[in-house]
Order: sequence, then C-alpha cells, then structure tokens
Amino acid sequence: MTAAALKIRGLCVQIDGRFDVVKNLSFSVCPGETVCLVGESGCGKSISALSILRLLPPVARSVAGEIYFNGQNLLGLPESELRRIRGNDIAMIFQEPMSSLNPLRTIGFQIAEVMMLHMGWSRAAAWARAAELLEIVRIPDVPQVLDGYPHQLSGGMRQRVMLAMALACKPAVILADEPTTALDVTIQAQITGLLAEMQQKFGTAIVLITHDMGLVAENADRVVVMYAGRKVEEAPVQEFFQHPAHPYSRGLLNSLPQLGAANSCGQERLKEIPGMVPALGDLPSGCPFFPRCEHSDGICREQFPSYESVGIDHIAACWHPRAMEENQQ
Amino acid sequence: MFAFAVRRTAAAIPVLVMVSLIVFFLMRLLPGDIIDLIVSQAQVDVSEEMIAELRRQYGLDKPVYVQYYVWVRQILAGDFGLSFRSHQPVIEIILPRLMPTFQIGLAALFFSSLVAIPLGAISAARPNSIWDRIGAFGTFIGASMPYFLVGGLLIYFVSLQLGLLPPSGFVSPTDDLTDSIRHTIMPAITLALSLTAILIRQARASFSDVLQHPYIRTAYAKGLSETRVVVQHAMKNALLPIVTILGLQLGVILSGAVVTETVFAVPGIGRLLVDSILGRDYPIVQALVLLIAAAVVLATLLVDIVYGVLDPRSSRM
Ligand SMILES: Nc1ncnc2c1ncn2[C@@H]1O[C@H](COP(=O)(O)OP(=O)(O)O)[C@@H](O)[C@H]1O
Ligand SMILES: [Mg+2]
Repeated sequence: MTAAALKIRGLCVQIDGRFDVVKNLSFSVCPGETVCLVGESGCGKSISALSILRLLPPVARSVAGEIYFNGQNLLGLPESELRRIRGNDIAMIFQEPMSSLNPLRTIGFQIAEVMMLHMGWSRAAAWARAAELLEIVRIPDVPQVLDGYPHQLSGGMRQRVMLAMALACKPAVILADEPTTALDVTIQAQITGLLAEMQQKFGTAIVLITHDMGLVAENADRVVVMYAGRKVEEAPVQEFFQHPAHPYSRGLLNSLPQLGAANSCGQERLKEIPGMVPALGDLPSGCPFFPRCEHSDGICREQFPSYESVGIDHIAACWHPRAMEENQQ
Repeated sequence: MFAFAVRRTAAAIPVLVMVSLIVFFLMRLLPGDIIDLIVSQAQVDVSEEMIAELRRQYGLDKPVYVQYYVWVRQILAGDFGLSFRSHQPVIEIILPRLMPTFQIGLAALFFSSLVAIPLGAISAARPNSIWDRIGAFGTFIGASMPYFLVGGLLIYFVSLQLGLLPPSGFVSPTDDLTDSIRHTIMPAITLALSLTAILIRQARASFSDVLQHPYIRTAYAKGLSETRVVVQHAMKNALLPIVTILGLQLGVILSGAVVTETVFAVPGIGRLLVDSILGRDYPIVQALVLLIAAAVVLATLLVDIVYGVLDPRSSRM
C-alpha cells in the first residue's frame, strides 16, 4: 500500500467549545485515490474538510486529533507555514460556485493570484498559465473570460474556474466540498469527469464530499460514511454498495433510485430513513443513530460501538452489523 | 452613461426648486430685514417716506411671491443680483470664498478616510481587539464632541500653548503653499472628527459584512495572508458602500464648515453664510443655499458614476 497523501487521526471539532460536531474522525487518502465523505447534511462533512486547512468559522475549533500531510501535523503548524500549503499542496473547491468567487476581481486575477503567490511567477507568466488552465477545464472564449467577472458566467462555468484555480499549483490533495450540488445533472457529470481526468494526469488524492450516492458510485474508490459527526463506516466502494454494514449506510443506499441513476434530488431520497439527524445540543449518549435504527437495543443506548472489521478493508461502528446482513438475506 | 447623467440632473430640478422656495420664504420669515438694520444703525432719524423709498430700491416693497418671481427670472438669466450690504455682484463675493471651504473640506475628507477606513477594516477583521476598542472609542469621541469645543481646544493647546500652528485665518495655496497647509490642518481636523466617527462605523460594518462572504474563505484557502485577503479581496468590495457614504457627507462637511469657519475665522462660504444671514443679505443667502444644494446633488451623481466604475456588475448604467 502506498503512503497516504493525507491522514486524519482522531479529529474532534467543537462548536462554541461545547458541542461536538466532529468526533474522533479518522481516515486517509492515497495519491490517485478518491475518498467520498458521505452523510446527510449537517453531519459534519464540511466542518471536517475545513478543519484540514484550518479554515473553520470562528465559532468552531478543532480540539483534538492530528492531520498529517508530508509527515507534518497540519494542526500543529504555524499559520505562516500552513499558508504555504493552502492552495499549493492542498486545494479546496467549495459548494457555492455563485459566491465563492470574488465578484469584483477578474477571473484572470483570481486564478493567476495563486500562482504568483506560491510559485513566485510574474503577472504575465501567471496569466498565461491561467489561460492554459481555463483551456484545460474546457472554458470557451478564454481571453474574454480571463478579463471578465464571475457574474458573466453560469454556475457550471464558475465551478470550472474554481477547478482551474484549484489545479493551478498541481496540488497533491484536492478537497471538494459538494462541488456539484448546486449544478444541474449534465454539468455535474462534466465537472466530476474533469476532476477524474486531472486525477489521472497528476495522481491527485481527492476527498469528495457529497450526499449523492450516484456520484459516490461513479467516483469513489473508498467511502467514509459520517453520521452526527462520527465516522460510522468505511469501505471500498464495491464492498460498500454490495455489503453495507451499518444500518445508516443501508438506509442511504435503500433510498437510492432503482436503476442507480443519479438524477433525482438528494433531499427526496433521504426521507426514507425515518427520523431526523439529532440536533447538536441533544446528541444521545451511545450510538447517535439508535433512535432511528430498527436494530437498536440496550447496548446501543449506552455506548458508542468500537470500529470492528467486517470485511476486507471494511470497518463499521455498529453493535449489530452481522444481524443486519442476515436480515438482508 | 451620458444619458444617465442627463436623467439624474433633470431629476434634480424639482429638488432645487423646493430648496429655492424654502430658503426664499424662510429668510423673509426672520424678524427684521436689511432696511430695519440700516435704519437702526443710522445716526439720524429716518422718515417713513425714506424707509418706503429704501424698500422700493431693494425691491422689498412688492408682495413676496412677486419678489420670488423676479428673483427666479434673474437666476435663469444667469444673474444672482447684488449684495444688499456691499452692492457688489453676488457671484464676485461668493467665488473667492469657495477655495478655503473646498480646501478644508477636502482635507477633512482625506484625514477621516485615512484614519477611518484602515481602522474600520482592522476592527472588522479582529473584533474585540485593541484596534476595535480604539475604533469604538474614536467613534464615541467623534460623535459627541461639538466642533466649537474641538476647535477651541486645538486653538488653545496647539496654537496658544505650543505655538505650532496659526490659530485663525486662511492663506491661499497659490500665495504660500506651506502657510496655506498650516492654516488648513486644524480646521480640517476639527471638521474631520464627526466625519471620522461616521466613517469608522460604516467601514467596520461594511468590512464585517464583506468578510462573511464565501469568496473570502476561498481567498484564505488559496494561502493568502490576512492582510492580503483584506486588501486584495475585501477592500474594494467594502469600499463600495463607503463611497456612497462619502458622497453623502458633503452635507455634513458644509454644515460643519459653518461652525469651524467661524471658530477659525476662515473666510469661506460657511462664514459668509452666517454673516449674510445675520446681515439679512437675502441675495447672498439665497445664492449660497442654492449653490450648496446643487453641489450636494452633483456629489450624489458623482458617487453613482464612481460606483459604476468600481462595480463591474452595474454596467446597466
Ligand atoms: N458557522 C457555524 N456556526 C454554528 N454552527 C455551525 C456552523 N457551521 C456548521 N455548524 C454546525 O455544524 C454541524 C456540521 O455542519 P457541516 O459540517 O456544515 O455539515 P455538512 O457539511 O455535513 O452538511 C451542523 O450541525 C451545523 O449546524
Ligand atoms: Mg456541507
């Protein structure tokens, strides 16, 4: 097994110093690999991704854990050294293509800026490379777009610009937080297609956050399922779709439309898991999923289960994973 | 753009008409007129006939609405009339008074922007820091200190005690630039104080708002330092609303000029206005108020144009 490009160990994030929004999260991504972080909205996916580059909103703080990149713990690095990694070795793509670009700066400036910063390039060299990057992400009328502003582009085009910006310094890791959620389906496929293409070319490690199982099926090598801030299952993608071990994962998969088409909207599907994600303030003790779980019993209320191996490279945190499998048959 | 400017100017006409009406009738509501002043200062007894004759000469014998009609016709012909007191053309009296007011106002605007915008930006980026407290304190001081008090304190300490700057008067920059600047500093600082208070609040609010936007997070994710994020990505966006505020401050500056020019004995239009009101010099007061109203209208138009240049999204102009 190759060395991980990014390795997260025991990450805990609190909001207001009280509520655990991410608890004891561990996973890693290898070069050239795509790990999908899945779960309903509000389960802590974005917060996890933001804490990797220490971009958490002021109310949130990572209180424990390590995040290793290149043998360094990012959480212990001085801000100035972390800045050299942001946008350079680890790039991030956000969900909102409409508001993630500065409305008052030209597209060219916003892409070139990151190269002038990290590679020390001249303005001319950086703009020339920005033009190439826009070609790579297949934006038409490149010269015009370079001098244009975000409001002149569609959502899909803006997300391509974000992608070009993320690729500018050939990062080892790309964190993509629901990069296609705001886009319509055909555009979604184009964007993820581009991501996959870049990954093949540069061997980029990708953390793809989504709650869209169709995207997971098409893009993931490995899947990490989160529920209420906890990782509840981790498995290679095929294993995950064939033998999901955690009842929550099963719920997510059952709510996928039959033919595996990724075209209906996410909110509809998730209705099929009864109940709701618990609010931050009143997480139950024990397994956070037990109030919604048909297999829960006494032990589930009392203690969070440990991570047990339930297959090859397949772990789950559930007291009754086997019982579930039997039920399925 | 041109059509936009024409439209906006046309829209200003009713405003100017209203202002002219208000100032014209308000002046005449004040007790006493120029004739009463002349009579009260005369050494000899003045007969009723002579008073009536004087009123006729000054055009004050006709009904007020006729006087207004005569005045408006004059203005439309480009003639602002003669001063009641010096009998010189109003234009010739006002023109040399513009420069000091303009110079001090511009300096005040410059001072307050220079202080308020960086302070507002730091306060927003670092809420509750020492800078934020300094900003809040500055706002409090600026908003609560009257011009005459600040002006008086400055004159007492800086001029009389330390002898650093001249306490009063004005020197034209074309005569002696250094001396002109020395005469500008204290009135400008006095005038700048309340402006700075307004601007710090505006700048802080504006920067806090901009710093919440997702594109700021994108900028940090690129690896930019806080300073670069604020300067490269928040500044222009935060300045947009501030530009609007700045344009609207012309009114604050001109009303402040009335007091500061009196305190520092600056021969500007603020002081001319005060003197002319006290002297019941109707033609000068009317012309000045109309001029100020026109300047404010022009400033808002200018702000809209600057806004359009700064914001690529507002190409609809
Ligand atoms: N700025 C914030 N202030 C307060 N709570 C927040 C903030 N951002 C996220 N949270 C809380 O943290 C939890 C996880 O949020 P998030 O990571 O955005 O979820 P996801 O990305 O999985 O949809 C949610 O319960 C949310 O309410
Ligand atoms: Mg999210």
